Amino acid sequence: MTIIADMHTHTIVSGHAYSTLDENLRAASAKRLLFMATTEHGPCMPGAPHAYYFSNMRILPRELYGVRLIRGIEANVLNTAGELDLPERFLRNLDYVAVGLHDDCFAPASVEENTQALLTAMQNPLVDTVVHPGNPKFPLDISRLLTAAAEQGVLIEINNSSLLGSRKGSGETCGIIARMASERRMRVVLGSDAHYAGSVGELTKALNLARCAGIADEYILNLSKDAVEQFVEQRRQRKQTARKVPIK
Amino acid sequence: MKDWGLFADLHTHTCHSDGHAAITGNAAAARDRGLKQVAITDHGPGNFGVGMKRPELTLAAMREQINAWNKFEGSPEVLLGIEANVISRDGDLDLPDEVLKGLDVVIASLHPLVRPASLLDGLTLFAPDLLQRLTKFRSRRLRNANTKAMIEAVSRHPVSFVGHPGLWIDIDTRELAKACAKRDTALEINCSHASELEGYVKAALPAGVDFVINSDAHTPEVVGRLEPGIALAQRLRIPAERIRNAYVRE
Repeated sequence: MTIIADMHTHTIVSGHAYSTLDENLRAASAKRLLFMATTEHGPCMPGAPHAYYFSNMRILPRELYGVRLIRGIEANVLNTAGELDLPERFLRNLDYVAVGLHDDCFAPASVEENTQALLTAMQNPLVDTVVHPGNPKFPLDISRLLTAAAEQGVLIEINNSSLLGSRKGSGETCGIIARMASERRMRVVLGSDAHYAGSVGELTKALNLARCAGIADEYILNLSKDAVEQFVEQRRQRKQTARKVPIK
Repeated sequence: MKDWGLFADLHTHTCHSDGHAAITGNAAAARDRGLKQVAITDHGPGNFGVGMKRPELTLAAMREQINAWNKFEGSPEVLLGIEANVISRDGDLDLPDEVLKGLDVVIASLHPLVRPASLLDGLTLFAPDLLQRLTKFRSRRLRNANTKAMIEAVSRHPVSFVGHPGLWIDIDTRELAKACAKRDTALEINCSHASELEGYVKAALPAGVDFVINSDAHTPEVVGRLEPGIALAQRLRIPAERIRNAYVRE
């Protein structure tokens, strides 16, 4: 099975990436991807776009160069109440909401607090994925994280660039996450976290780690067109039907 | 001579050390080659760079994957092993016996690039071994030290067979073969290096020691590629009864 989707990419809009959306899509097309999620950092990040960037994404074509464009965001979890840095009315219009902890927006805290922040964020029906949970800066209770993710149908990401040195020391925790996900037969998603068009679709390290941990190919979202379509559709329905979760 | 074939490949690597595929990749390749058994024997933690990290945790996870394969796929039977490193002149291995006893296959190998048990072991054994591998340097004292280290290793630990003897490290094969024959430990004929091994197999034969023929595969394509070893064994007329993973064709 080959990779047909990259669910985590950035453009110059994020402020610290170097290619345009068009360049990323061409790169995705050249690598024969069928899906590419564009996931800029949420507004809390220095240099990240204003909320209007996300609301205006509706003008973008759904497909370009044979690649389906998934309108996404890498939102920041701001506190242990699970608050995100983009208001719900904007999040609602996106296809794909990935959330993560970044130290510009959430000061690294104890395992309990880091985990609590993500657990509460995941209760939000608008949240689809937790990105780079292997980051050693934000130690987590992996078992609780995976239990909550399974309950909410939220995906756990194995981040390729974490394994290439973006977040040093991630490999070991990523390995533990992958093993645990494999034992529990949970689905994972791979993301390149590309900040340059050349890295779009580059998921080799993450794929190897997942397979080595014993995760079967049908549990890796990026390997199946049907799986991606189903996931996006399921989450869309959930977003529409779920009651609004009040965020204190 | 009886006509014989091999039913197992007992030395293969996966992504848990310096191999490339997952356990299932090697298992599926072994099935495609018609083998009944395949052992996953990744490098012990002592190898610089490629050794298994957090070995006990990793081995436990590997055992789970292997149990799942054996339960749901059934064939070939996958065995969990290790290619342990000799790390001292006294034959210490890089994993404790309690861990080794829980494994199906234990290979003991001498590699020059390992983390030695002590500085003195490094200076007197592994540094000269590395020098020897890279130059024409030969020393009887070093040869004796290597031989003693390996004989101690097979005497003191539950070793199934010695990995690629005759390769890289200068060793007294006759002495090693005698010691192995006495302890029912086999010597490997390593198909990844079969062309270099004729002299060593010839030297080992008179001791009456058993052999085992393995691929030392690092990719699934090489799993079960045992032809060079078979050819060598046939040329030297090793009887099938002395090859641990051989079966006699009726």
